[in-house]
Amino acid sequence: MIKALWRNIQKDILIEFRSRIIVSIVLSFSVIVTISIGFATGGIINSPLLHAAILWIIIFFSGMNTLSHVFFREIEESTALFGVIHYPAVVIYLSKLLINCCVMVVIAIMVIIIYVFVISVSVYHGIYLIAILIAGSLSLAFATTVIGAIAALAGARGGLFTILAFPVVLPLFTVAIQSTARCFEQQVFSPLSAIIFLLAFSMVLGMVSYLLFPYIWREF
Amino acid sequence: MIVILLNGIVMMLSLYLIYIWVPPAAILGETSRIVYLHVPLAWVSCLAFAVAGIASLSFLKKSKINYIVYARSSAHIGLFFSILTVITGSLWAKVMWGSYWNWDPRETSITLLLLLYIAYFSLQQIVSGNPKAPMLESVYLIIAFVASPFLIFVAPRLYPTLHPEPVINAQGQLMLDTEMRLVLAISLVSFTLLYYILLGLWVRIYVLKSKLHEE
Repeated sequence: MIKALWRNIQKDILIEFRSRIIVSIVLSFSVIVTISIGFATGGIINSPLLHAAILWIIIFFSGMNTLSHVFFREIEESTALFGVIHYPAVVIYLSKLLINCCVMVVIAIMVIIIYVFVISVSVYHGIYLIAILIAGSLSLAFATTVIGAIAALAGARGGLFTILAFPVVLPLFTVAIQSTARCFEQQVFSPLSAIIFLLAFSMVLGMVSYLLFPYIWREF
Repeated sequence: MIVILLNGIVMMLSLYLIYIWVPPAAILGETSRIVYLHVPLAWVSCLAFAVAGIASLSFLKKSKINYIVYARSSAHIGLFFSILTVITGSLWAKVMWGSYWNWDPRETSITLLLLLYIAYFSLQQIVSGNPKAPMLESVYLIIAFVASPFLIFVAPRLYPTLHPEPVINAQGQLMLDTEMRLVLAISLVSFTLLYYILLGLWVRIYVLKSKLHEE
């Protein structure tokens, strides 16, 4: 199974490396949005909560542009059938999940670097911020991977993925924004409960998605 | 028929108890009577969502189309009840807190449940006619059902709220007078029965519609 998983991941990485669609979409989206916000506000936003909300909105929508891409590509290029013939559905799910997790963590790190560079924000708890960003982006990947498959199978490339994913990820979104905001404040705090919530959320949804994925990813 | 009659009697009794028999709450006054409608409406919204999730799970396990009909019907009723919950909650918020919308965590959580229903119906519209539609709908409903406890019970409790303590709170105690508790219980029973009747009707409508479609 691990061998099959690794082959699938290798295949996806190779395809992405050749096309560079995800990298170009994420990079251009996050840079354009952050610079637009910088222009609109003059780079000065006084509320830590507003900083956190903007940051997570950029991460979320950058993710929405890319998280379902791995499934859309399989459907559009008619490679989904070959995948199902060669590998069990759970292997395909796990490989896409791992790819999405890596993509989301990279997006989060990239967005925070661009954000801090373009908009003047003071980060008082850098380590906590990184921990929350990683936990939050992993949760986003765990919660939305199977929804990406649903959107791809529904054949709706437009906004369906965002419409389906948004209400499901809102609890983690709320917790991530609230705890990220505290990283931009001087007061001492513990992000442990927020991180536990984010990880628990991703574990639960990840397990359910793992069990459900074989029901939808078959008969192409 | 017996259930409809029983529900009619219980509903009339609960309306009498709510508006005439039970005394107003100490601080909240006459406005407190809305709680006997608001809480059961919220309960049915969550119950309908849970039934839709469980019916979807049964559909995946047994592949019987009846289950997806139950899931769809329950989601329709749940949408209707969650809209009513938001409306009654907003009316009460206007009286108690001065505005219809206060971004209170619990006030927001029921709206998020409403968003889940709307997202589900968007999916239903897009996949109608697709042979994979029942499967895709079921998987989404189960995912949403699993995510909903985080939405309704966990996330709102992480942050301060304007809402009164929930009826069944962290201490596991009922913070209501005996009379209020009785009226709320009867109202909950009557709304649950109403949901049961509506579900049966909705399923029949679905079955008749599909028969007409076949002809």
